[in-house]
Formats: sequence, structure tokens, C-alpha cells
Amino acid sequence: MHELTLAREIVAIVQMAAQNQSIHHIRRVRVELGAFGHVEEKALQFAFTAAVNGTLAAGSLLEISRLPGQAWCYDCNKTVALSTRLAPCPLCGGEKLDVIGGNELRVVDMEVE
Amino acid sequence: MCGICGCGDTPGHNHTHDHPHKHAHSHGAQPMPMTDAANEQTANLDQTRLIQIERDVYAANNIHAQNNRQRLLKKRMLALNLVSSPGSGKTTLLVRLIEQMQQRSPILVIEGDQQTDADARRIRATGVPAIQINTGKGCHLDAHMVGHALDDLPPAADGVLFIENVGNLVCPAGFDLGEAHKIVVLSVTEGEDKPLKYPDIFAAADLMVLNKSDLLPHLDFNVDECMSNARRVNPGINILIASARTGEGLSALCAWIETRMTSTLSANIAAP
Repeated sequence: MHELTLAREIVAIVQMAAQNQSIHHIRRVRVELGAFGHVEEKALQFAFTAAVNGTLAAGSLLEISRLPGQAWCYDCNKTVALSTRLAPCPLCGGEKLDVIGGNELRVVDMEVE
Repeated sequence: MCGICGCGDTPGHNHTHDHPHKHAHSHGAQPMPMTDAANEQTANLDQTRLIQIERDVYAANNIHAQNNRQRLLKKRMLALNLVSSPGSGKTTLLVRLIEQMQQRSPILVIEGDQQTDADARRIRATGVPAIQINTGKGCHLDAHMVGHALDDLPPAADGVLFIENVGNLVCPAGFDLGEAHKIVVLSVTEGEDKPLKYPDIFAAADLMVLNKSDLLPHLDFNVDECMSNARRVNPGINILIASARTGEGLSALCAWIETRMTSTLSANIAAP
């Protein structure tokens, strides 16, 4: 349920970016979410619909694009792409992996009118 | 967002800080990319614009976390964020640790729970100052709450700040409080598969304490499998087996903490 905190934060960020821009309405908000981001996508969508109430972003669409996960494989000695946190190395099948990317949650841009 | 007092409600803007940093800003309006035909049709009607933002959603929390970290470093206080599911024995473990450590080092405690100050009272009974944060409906502590709690704690230096997070194996994983290390406490009654079921929190922790080891003879809990599951999620994780009840492993846990206190001290000396 920390998704509500994050949804409120997203709304605060777009409201701040909308200041002094003569914006009537925010139509769409785009965020990037890493494959291992600490976020349940549906819960974030649900929380967002509540968090936008009474703001410039009321009724706006939250568009979530996923970023791939990345890990360091101790057996291959290189960075590999990872689909889930518990997936084995796609190159060697090993499980000695250190996740180095995929925790992102970032507001990219917004479509306004 | 401030969940406790409403101050600084606009993240990163309505707070003071003693260091310069850039605030998020938009890069002005850009026309929406659209086809020429669509562009001609809507040129006079559609006022849609795209505004670039590029801001980390955790940025506001991270600013507070960084402030907390600087404050603690100045006092050479090692901050440890204890996370676990409810009922893993964090508070009892903490009470035992305090009994062992308080003669050697100053200790401060921040307790996080949705309701009641029961845990802070248990800590204060040891003679150590403790502040209770009640998150209400909140499922985790954030760095802003911890900053306020630091304001309310008496000054201390060259010791340890224990932050006992809300009992929850999910939500606290993503929120930096300004701690030096997250310690995840897993009790042996919870099952050896927890690191695989809740990987985010085990991935974020530097130490796993396998608590309630005195119950092992009565359970089918497989210690080796649990440790291997934790290392699968986080190859670098340290693991200690402990029992707050019998005292098993507490000396090793104290030693782990005191080693980190020394490195906090040297990091501060090395800092300009």
C-alpha cells in the first residue's frame, strides 16, 4: 500500500512542474518503472486515480513503461539483462547475480492543455 | 509528503537545507509529436503540449534521507534500519542488544508502528531514549518522519541509532531513511522461503538475523535452505543466527554492529 505514497508523490511532482505554465489540465502522466521497482503496477494505477482528485491532473491517464532489470553475473563477470529478480543468468544459467539496475521509478513527462 | 505534520508538503521545496542543490524544473513547452495531417487539422483547436519532467519519484524522500545521513555522520552515529514482518522479535532483540551495548556506547531508538507507543515504552525501560512514530494507516517509515524524530531525541554522539521500522516485509524496502545499513530480521517460525517470496527487502538489507533459533528443535525449518535463499536474492548479505531469548548469537551481532561503528567513525574522519 506504499503505492499511495508514491502516487501522491507523482501528483506533487507534476503539480510542481505545472506551476506558472498556464496549464488548464494535465491529460497524461508518463512514468518509467524498473523491472524490480518496489511497486505493484495495478496498485499504483488505483492509488493514482485517488491521488489526482482535486488537482490539475484529475482524470488524467497514468502511463507506465517498464525498464529492464540488470544484474552483474559473478560467473560471467559481466552485466546481463534480467527479467525477474530471481531469474538465472540468461548467459550461463548461474544464480550468483547482483542486481544493479531495475529499481527505478521516475516521472518522465506529462501531456497538458 | 509529510505524513505526520503537513509541513513541507511540496516535496523538496518548502524545507530548508544547508547545501545547494537543483530543484526539479520543466523544460518549457514542446509541441506534441503528431502527423502532419493531424497537425493541420488540430492546429487551431488542440492546445496539447508535452512538458519534460525527468524526476525520481523517491527524490523528495531521498533529500530528507540525505539530510538525516549528514546529521548522523556529523555526530558519528551509526544508523541501523531494522525491518521484518510483524512478530519476528525485533523489539525483544533490540532490548537484549541495548542491554549488552549501552555501557559501551550511547544508543538512541526510533520506533515505528501504526498505533501505540508500547515498543517505545519497552525500550525506555532499559534507560535508553526512544521516540515512537505512529504512522496511522501508513505502512512504512519515511525519511521525513525520521528527521522529525531526530529533532525530538536528545543529542548523542559516537553511538548507534536503531530505527525499528513498521513490521512489514514489503513497503519499507524502497524507502531510504538515511541509515547506514538495513538489517532484516527473520524468525525461524516464518519459513525458509521468505527471502524468495519477499526478495526486495532481502535484496536491500546488508545483514539478515535469523531470530528465535531456540525454537529450531521444535520446527522443520531448514536453516541452510533459508541462508541459500537469502544469498540467491542478495549474494553479499551477511547472515547471523540468534535468539533474543537465550542470547545465542547476540555477541556476534554486537560485534557486527561495533565493526560498522568503527567504519562510520573513520568515514567521517576521512570526509573533508
